[in-house]
Amino acid sequence: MTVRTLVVVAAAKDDLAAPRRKLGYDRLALVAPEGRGRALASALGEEATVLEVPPDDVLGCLRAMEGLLAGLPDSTRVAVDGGTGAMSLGAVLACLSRGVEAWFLEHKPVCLPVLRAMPVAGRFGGDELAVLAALDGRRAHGDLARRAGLPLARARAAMLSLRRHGALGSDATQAWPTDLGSYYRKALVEKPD
Amino acid sequence: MTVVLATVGFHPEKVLPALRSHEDKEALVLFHDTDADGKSKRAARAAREDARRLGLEAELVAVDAFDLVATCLRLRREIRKRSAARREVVVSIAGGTRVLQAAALLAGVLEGVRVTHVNERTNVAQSLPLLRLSAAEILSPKRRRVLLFVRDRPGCQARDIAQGLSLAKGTVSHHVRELRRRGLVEGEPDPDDSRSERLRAVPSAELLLAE
Repeated sequence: MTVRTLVVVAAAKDDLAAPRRKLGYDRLALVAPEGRGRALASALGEEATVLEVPPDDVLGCLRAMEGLLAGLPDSTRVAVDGGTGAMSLGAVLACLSRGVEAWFLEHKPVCLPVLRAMPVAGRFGGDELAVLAALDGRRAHGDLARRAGLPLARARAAMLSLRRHGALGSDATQAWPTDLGSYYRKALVEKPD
Repeated sequence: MTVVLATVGFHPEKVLPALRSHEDKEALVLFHDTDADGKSKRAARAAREDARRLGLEAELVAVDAFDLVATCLRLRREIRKRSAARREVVVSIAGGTRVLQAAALLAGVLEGVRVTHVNERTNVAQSLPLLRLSAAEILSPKRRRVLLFVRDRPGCQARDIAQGLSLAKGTVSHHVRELRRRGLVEGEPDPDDSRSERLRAVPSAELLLAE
């Protein structure tokens, strides 16, 4: 028999009953702001897996949610309209990334299409990927170009593109990965498609 | 030149970080809710004044911020219009209801444009991960035809699809199964025949059919 898991994203003021009433489930998981998990779980009045996430960090929420969803069955549903704005967006991104149902239950209940998307920029070319792979911390432009195996001019063009995508910070001499760049590195470099 | 499409809630000051994070911006389009008390519209007007002080013209677009499908489709139309005019488009989530924010995210993802989010606490704009998503990858031409058939004939059965589209029953079963797995089609037992199901497309299927 399929075990249906419901993941509820919530913060202190959210109605914890509504998603449980509207979506059927066998198992429950609660995504709560850091430091609030225990209090929210006790308000549930039933057993639940609790995941605490950084409430103001979309990428942090996304990473944590992806980890949670990776261990749950395909029949999982996520009620994404609770929590802080960052938590809700992180949850939506995680659902899109992992191919899981994301539900908005306030007003007219609606589920996003289940799309299995990878957090990979299809538009990143080989040079950009090479620079991203070489960018393991703050690096001088020349050093980064050498590590990426690219002529300096091409590496700089790739850096510019990555900067436009918000993946890289740079000044006149050095470049470094942003939080988003680190996220891409993890998705693209450490776990290639 | 860049056109920024920003969502706005009750806090117009959230739009400024979204604008500052983009170079060579040319125009701003503010999506706000059609709320009864006009609070969101007032915020959008205030954000428009802020943009004018930066030398930027802004246009206001009222949407039902609780209607995910209609709002997402409206945003996608705007992205396409601006892209067709050879403008770079950036979607900036700078407030609004959760549904409005998700609609903006999904529109950006499905149209393949950059999406940024203005942090609620720090007011700093951050780029969100680009997701490689294309409706064409999810809906092959044949599957798209099946989905359109179901959308246009709610309550139809698999055999109706096979007959209407001249497809083998096995092919229809496969596509219906995949469409159900992706949450695009729902089925309920046929009261007249317990072995059959009556099918209907869910509202959010429109998001993938609007290609």
